[in-house]
Amino acid sequence: MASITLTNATVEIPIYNARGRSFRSNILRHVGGRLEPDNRDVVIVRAVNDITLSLKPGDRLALIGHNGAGKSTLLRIFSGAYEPSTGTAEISGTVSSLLEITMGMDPELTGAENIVLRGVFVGLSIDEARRLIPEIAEWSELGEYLALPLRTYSSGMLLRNDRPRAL
Amino acid sequence: MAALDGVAMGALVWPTKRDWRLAASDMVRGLLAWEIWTLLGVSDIRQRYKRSRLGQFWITASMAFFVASTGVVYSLLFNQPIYDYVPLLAVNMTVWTLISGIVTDSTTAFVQAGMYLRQDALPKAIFVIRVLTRNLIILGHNIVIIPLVFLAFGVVPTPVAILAIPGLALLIVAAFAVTLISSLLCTRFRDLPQIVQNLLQIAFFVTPVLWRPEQIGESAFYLVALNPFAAFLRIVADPLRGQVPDALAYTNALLSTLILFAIALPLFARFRARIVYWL
Repeated sequence: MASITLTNATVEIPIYNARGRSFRSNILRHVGGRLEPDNRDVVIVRAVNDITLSLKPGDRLALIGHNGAGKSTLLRIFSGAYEPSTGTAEISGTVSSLLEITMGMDPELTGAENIVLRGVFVGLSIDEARRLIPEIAEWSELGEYLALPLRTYSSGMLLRNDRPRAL
Repeated sequence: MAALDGVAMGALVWPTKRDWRLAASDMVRGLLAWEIWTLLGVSDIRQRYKRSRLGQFWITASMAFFVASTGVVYSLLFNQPIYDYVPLLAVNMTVWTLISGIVTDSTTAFVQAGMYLRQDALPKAIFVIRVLTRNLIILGHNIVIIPLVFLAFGVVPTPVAILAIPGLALLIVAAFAVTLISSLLCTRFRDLPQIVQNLLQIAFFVTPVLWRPEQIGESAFYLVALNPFAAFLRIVADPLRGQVPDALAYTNALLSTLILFAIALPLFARFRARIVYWL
């Protein structure tokens, strides 16, 4: 049975500056004397704080909050892309997520190639995903545009290209 | 390791039971998702050469140019007969291109997959195997050179060549661990790809790719015996040239593989879930 269970889930996202990202300065800070406090290279954003919840089939959950409240982060936990930095998230079943406008598609690939890729990501075989192309071409009204790279699409066209997930 | 995490500062934490379980499941699901990594690997190659007339045969063409030009110059430089040197170079370069390609691509494996990783709960191992797939496809294009060169210079392959297959298999297994380590650390430390690139360049010159170990005599012994790049090069390249690799090369390759996994597995188990936060 599909379910989502979060137990004391907290997400802390480290934001590094160039020095914090650098292997060289991370090594050098342990060598020789120290002139400055070294804990400014990483800022930690606590995006989701100690959430415990459980969702069962039939449940509907609406997330309301101001910008930066952590709604998207929580959704990323539900999708399984983010694993809580403390606490646990147990997700069983498949999750379809619509988080970004590009929705995990490669702008350099054509619409058709992205459809196959997305289809395979959600568990179809390559052949099954390929068979979806004509149907999606018609339904999305993208038609021959599916042979063009995604980066040439308008925002509206981008949204219409993500049918395997909708299916 | 403390500097790695950035969140659990100061604590050198060994992966928990749960970490190990999730990491194992990631790898198993990643390996089984062959349709995803073949698709990604093939489309990487296709995309790179999409708008050129020769298409992916640019890979083969540029290798042919390299072997032809370098073969002539270095056979003169080293005073080696060209019919001897060019086949050696063709085989060595084909294998070296595989090794260096994997190491280079490993530095961007996760960063390049950011758009997928931020969105879906895909096994991270998929993107590690994708690097291997991509470079094996390139190998497939380069390997065509070898029979052509052998034909041109009258080199007759011997049955020993079959030993290249287990050699290649071991190389791929080790490459999985290398890619795991390198891709993870390079996602966290963004100056590491440059460092890796530099080390790789040095490795090219201290590994017997362009030269034979015999050419620099006794002093080369350690350079060749202890150098893991040399070991992996030899267990694939030597059989193709009709030479049985010595036991030392196999021992080195096996030990290197074990050490790589001893590093890669705990590192991956511990930091697998952090990768997406580092993107």
